[in-house]
Order: sequence, then C-alpha cells, then structure tokens
Amino acid sequence: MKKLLAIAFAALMLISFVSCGGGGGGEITLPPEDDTTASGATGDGFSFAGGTSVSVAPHDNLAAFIAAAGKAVSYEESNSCAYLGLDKIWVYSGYTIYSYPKDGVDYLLQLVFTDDSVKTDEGISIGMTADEVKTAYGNDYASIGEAMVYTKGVTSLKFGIKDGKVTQVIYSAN
Amino acid sequence: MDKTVKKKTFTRIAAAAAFLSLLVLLLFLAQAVLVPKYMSFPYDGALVREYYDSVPEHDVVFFGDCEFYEAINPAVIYSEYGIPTYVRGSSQQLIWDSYYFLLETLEYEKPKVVVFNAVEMKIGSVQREEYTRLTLDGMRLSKYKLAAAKLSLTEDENIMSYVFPILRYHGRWSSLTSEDFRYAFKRDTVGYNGYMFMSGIKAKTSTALPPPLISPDLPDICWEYLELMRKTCEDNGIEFVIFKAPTDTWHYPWYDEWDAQLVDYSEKHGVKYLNAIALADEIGTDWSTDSYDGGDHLNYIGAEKISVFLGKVLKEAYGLEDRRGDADFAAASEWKNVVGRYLSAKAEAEKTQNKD
Repeated sequence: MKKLLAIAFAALMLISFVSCGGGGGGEITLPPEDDTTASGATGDGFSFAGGTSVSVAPHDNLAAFIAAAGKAVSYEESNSCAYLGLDKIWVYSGYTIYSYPKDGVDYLLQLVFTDDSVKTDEGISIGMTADEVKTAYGNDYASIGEAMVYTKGVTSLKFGIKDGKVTQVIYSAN
Repeated sequence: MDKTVKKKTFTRIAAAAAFLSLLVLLLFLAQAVLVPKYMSFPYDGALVREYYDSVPEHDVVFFGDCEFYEAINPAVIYSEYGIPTYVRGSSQQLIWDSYYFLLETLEYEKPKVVVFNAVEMKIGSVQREEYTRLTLDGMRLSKYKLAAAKLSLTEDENIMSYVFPILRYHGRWSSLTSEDFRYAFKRDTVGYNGYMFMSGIKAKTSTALPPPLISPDLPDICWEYLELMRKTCEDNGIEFVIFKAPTDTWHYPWYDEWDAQLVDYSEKHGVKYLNAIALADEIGTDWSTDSYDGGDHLNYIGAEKISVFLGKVLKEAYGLEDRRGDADFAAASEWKNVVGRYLSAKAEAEKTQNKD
C-alpha cells in the first residue's frame, strides 16, 4: 500500500511540474497571460521618435519613450474588461498614444498624428503628398479606400490620403 | 491455475483498481481546490457557471460580453414585464463563444428570442488567454466547450487543459487562499440570472477621441459566426436580434462604419438591429449617474433603464407574454428569489450612496 501511495504522490508531483504553456504560473487568482498575443518589443516594426532620443514601435514597451517625451498635454486611463490591467491614452502636442497592458507593462497599441508638427522617422507628416509617401516607404502597400497601409512584422503604418495629400498618419499594432 | 495464483492475481487487480481510484480521487480533489473560483470581486468569471442552476425556461437569452452582463438586468425585465430572460455573458466573449453557448443553450431550452451583442463583431482573434478562461472555465464540459476552446487556443495552450483544468492551474498551489478551499465544491450565487451588479457612480467626462480605424471592415470570421448564429435561430424558429449597448468611449468605441455594416446586414436578412447609442435620450441614459467607470460600462442605474427599454421593445416586437400569472411556469419561485436579491442589493447600494 505504501508503494501505491508513493506512486500516487509521484503522479501528483509530476502533474505539478508538467508544462502547461503560457506564463507558467500560479501566483494569481486569474490564469497568467499567454505569451503569444502581445509580445513587447519586436525590433522590426515601424518606429517613431517624435524628436526624442527614443524610438518606439507598436507592441514596444512604452516606458522609455513616455519618459523621453515629457509631460503629456493630457492623460487618461481606464480598466480593461474584468480588471486585467489599464488601457491608457497620452495626448501630446502633435500626436496621441494609446496603450494596452500586459503583465503590468504598457505597450504601444496606436500612435496617431493629430497635426503637421511631427514627422515619421522617414520624414512624412500630415500635408505631404502620396508620392512623397511612396518615395519614403515604397510601393508595397495595401490600399484601403484612398488610404495607403504599409505592414512590417506585427505593425502597420497607415497614411490616410485625400486629394493626393496625407491627412492621417497612424502607427498600429496588428 | 491453483488457488494461490488466483488469489495473487485478484490481489494485484484489486490493488491496481484501488490505486487508480485513489489517484483519480486525489486529482479530483486537487483540481477542485486549484481552479479559480471567482468568488471575490470582480465576479466576472463566476457568471457562466450559474446558468446551469437556473430553470431553463427563458423566453429571451442574451449572448455577449461585459457590455451585456452589466447593462441587461433580467430581474428588472421580469419585474417590469414578467418576461423570464437570462444573460449568458462573459468577459470579452468572442463571437464563436457566443455561437457555441447558443448551441449548448438549445440542448437545455428553446428561447423565443436570442439577442446577440453587436460589439463582439469587432474582435476576430483571441486577445488574451485570461478572457478565454473567464469565459470557458464555467462552461460545462461538452463538445461545444471543446469546439469553442479549440478556436481560442493560444500557441502554448493545450486543449486538454480545458478538459482537465488542473493541467493549467496546478501552479496555483503556492497562491491558494481560504477562498479556494471554502468554494472548492460549492459556489455562492453572485449574479442575477447573468447580470453582474455594479453599484459605483463615475460620470463620463472624457472628451478623448477613440483610436482611428485602420480598416473599417469587420473581421471575416465574425461575419461567418454571425451568420451561423442567425441560421441556427432561423432553423429553430427563434427570433434573432442584434443589440449594441449605449456605451461608446475612447476606450470602447463603436464606429459609424461598423454600425453601417450591421444596418446593411440586418436589412438584408430581416433581423432587428438596435443601436442604443443613438437611442440614449429615448432610453433616458444619463452619463453623469449611469456608469461606474466613466462611461465604459453601466452601473445598476443605467442597467435598469436599458432593461426597461429593451424589455418593452422585445415584448412589443415579439409578443412575449407576462409569465407571472402562468400556473405552469416552473421558474416562478426562482424569479421571486432573483428579484428579491436584486432589490436588496439595490437598497444596499442606495443606502451607501446616501451616506456618501
């Protein structure tokens, strides 16, 4: 009987160590997040420096960029569904940043130009022409209506176009 | 075979059977303790399980995410109109979850009307595993649960962890609380036939704009499952309604482009689509008092208004009857209890607000 109990105990221990995927955890009431959706810095997305010394791309950890960008004109935060972190919005002069949370870290969801005072790292700003966008980013884009949408890794960069001019610039996490 | 050999063989078989039984029992007990109970606020993960305790005699069943289970209150609809309803809602319920919840619901009952949450049309892929767990942990094991889980599996997840949750939650052993033992085998009822009571008041004041759309198109998979839901209802003689709650913020926006696509769909297929954003004045929604989080979700005050409005629309459109005087209505005592609990919670919330 002792032998059987030992085997049963061993089986329980085995289950305790079996890989279950994801964040492997158990310190939380809710299950830990998986590692496959939001992933943090990608290194190969469309990046934006906005005159700071730090570039940020969609899905990147925002901490360094937010610190470098200085005080926002306005800031708001709101609980994610079921309180799984805070979604945040920072409004800066010239652009607005939307974030999503993961493991207590804020990642870039979208960065949206709000006027012509800022440029992409490749030099495009609101008011420039669609041809200038093509010169800077090439012809490998998808057309959605009049908009030009470039994709790189898990990021996209959308240029809204009206009458041949850029009216909208959006960096986005796919 | 002599008696000694027979005896030894029997002893071995008996020992093996005893061992297996013991192992299964230990695993069962361990699993009961280790799985999350969702018995502390927020209760979102506890709502799905409670459906199975309800008498399956609902004239209307709602399928949706937090927008629904915080905006539609069956206790209010029953009090006002005598219509038995249930909200099968869960955090960030995805459209295929709703579809499989619908199929599962039909195994228990056949409602007259099914109302689907329009906001689910915007998400075509799993955002976070937590939401899948919050949605499916409470669902009974069935082919529907497995089908929903299969569609929501993230890269490192294993479908077996939805059959044997201990495979996912074994790591919780080091963070167990008294709640895990207290509720291992029995849970409290925290919802009101699927409604989650939220008492706080936080006015909507933000003027921030929502993130712009990259593409106005709603995901293909959402259209696919919307059509499956509509056809399932059609095949079963159930009215299918699409409803958008009045919430619309920078955080949870509802774009005109999405609205237009659902208007087109509803006209093409002859189903009712109600967008309560545009009806907020008619409903009486007051954003200074009706939300607990600045407009993202409704509190009980806002939910009462939506429920009164929606109940009236459904009653008039589909001729739903007042079941309170129906001698054959098996769930009468359940509803008395649900309404009573809700009124108590409401009185308590109002008492707290008056103190403040």
